[in-house]
Amino acid sequence: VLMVVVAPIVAIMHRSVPEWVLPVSFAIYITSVCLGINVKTWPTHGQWFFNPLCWQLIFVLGFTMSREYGPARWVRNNVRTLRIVAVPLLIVIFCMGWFNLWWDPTKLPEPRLLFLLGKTFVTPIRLIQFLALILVMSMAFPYIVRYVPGLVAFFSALGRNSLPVFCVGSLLSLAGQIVRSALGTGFILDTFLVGSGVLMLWVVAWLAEWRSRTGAKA
Amino acid sequence: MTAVSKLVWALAAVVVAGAWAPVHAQAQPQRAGSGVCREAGEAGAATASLPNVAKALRERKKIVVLALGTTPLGLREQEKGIYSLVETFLEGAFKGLDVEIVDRGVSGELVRDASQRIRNEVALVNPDVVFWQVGVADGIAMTPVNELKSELADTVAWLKAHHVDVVIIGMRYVRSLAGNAHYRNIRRAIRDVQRQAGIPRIGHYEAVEALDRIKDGSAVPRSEAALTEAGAECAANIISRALAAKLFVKPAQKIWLPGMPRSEEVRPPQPGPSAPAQASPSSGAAPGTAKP
Repeated sequence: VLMVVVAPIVAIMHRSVPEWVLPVSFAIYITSVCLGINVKTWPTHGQWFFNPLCWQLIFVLGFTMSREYGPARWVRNNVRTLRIVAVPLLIVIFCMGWFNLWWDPTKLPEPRLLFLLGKTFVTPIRLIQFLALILVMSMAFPYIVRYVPGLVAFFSALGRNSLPVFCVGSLLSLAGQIVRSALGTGFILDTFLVGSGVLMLWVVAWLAEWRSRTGAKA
Repeated sequence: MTAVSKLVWALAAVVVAGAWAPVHAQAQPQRAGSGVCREAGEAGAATASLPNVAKALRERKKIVVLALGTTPLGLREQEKGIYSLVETFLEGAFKGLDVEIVDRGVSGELVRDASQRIRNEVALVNPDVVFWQVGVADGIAMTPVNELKSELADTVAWLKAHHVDVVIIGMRYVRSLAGNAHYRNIRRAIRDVQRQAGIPRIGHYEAVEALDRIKDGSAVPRSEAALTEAGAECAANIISRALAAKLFVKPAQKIWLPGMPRSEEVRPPQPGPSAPAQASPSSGAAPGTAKP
């Protein structure tokens, strides 16, 4: 919600000084990471789990990389090289996570957030991992479309209607937990719950697009 | 002292107590069960110690607490959540003590997800002790018991190896889950880990369960929400007392809290951090509110 509120500011800034959007966003991000700045919660005495000062960079990166100029042009021109770097990087990070090979966080130098793997501040390692995943996915996507077009259409429909899918998914998750609590756990029940849940999410996406289609025809 | 003067003092005490008690009871009716709360809270906490907290106190007169897990807040006055009450109590009760409580609780977080986050938070906050309310989300999400035990034991061992004390704040008591077999198994698993690791546990579940059981009319919260509310206050009481007992009180000493039976005599407070003044965390009372 906060990102939606901030979006017009980013858009206005992009219209007037487009070359400043990404540097300003990155400056806010790196300041927050280096100094550990986060937004306080209220009325409880905590901090935001998804620090908006850091997560804004993800949104701004998506916004700026969709352009045809600026840093997006540089990425497009060097995408092959970037992919060559991304593949081994992703493999290394995956192996570190899978085999729990992360370094002891208490032994890291200050500012520790620069070297930690953390979700709250989207720490640099997580950001690099995310960007590497996008690069690898952009490489694999044409092959996936060619061999499993139905699967791509299915997930694309979920992605296009992410808000209603997310809302219904939250309710279905709760319903699934209630069912599991009442009936117990087991492979068959869990498979049925996951399968029926995914199917219902697709129905939600289909309904949302069906409404759009009929609205457009009318 | 003559017999007459003793009688006069006794009468005066009765009059003062009689005048004070109804007002107090009216103002804070939910504390009537805190005797039960206190007794239940002793579960599991008796033998474990907090060496790193004691060391921090000796060397710095400051304790940094990292609070994790499902935030055990339930008070309507959220700004005086239970950790604030604990902080106020300890700082008020022990002269010169600085208690910093860093609340990093995330609702619904499973133990397996918390394990890595705890390591990061320890690196960032550098705490002396971690308060961890654990198991609530796992109980509801039907996490396999062995997985929880393994993750919990592993994280507790890591914390101890990094010179951080751990206080497990047990699961919440929820009426509708009281008979749930998995919820009970998770509770048992947490107790097993706590015993094996030799760390203190705050019996939040037992305390609130006991509150729910005593159906004496005035003090018993009727609704689930009211019970949660009473449980939060109870938890503040228990945590404060457990910490105080671990840090300052010799075996013969006892700390007085509202609702304690008369038979539990309290020694007068000694100056300095070696002995606590008897204050209630829930009342936020200042030092010197000890029973005479």
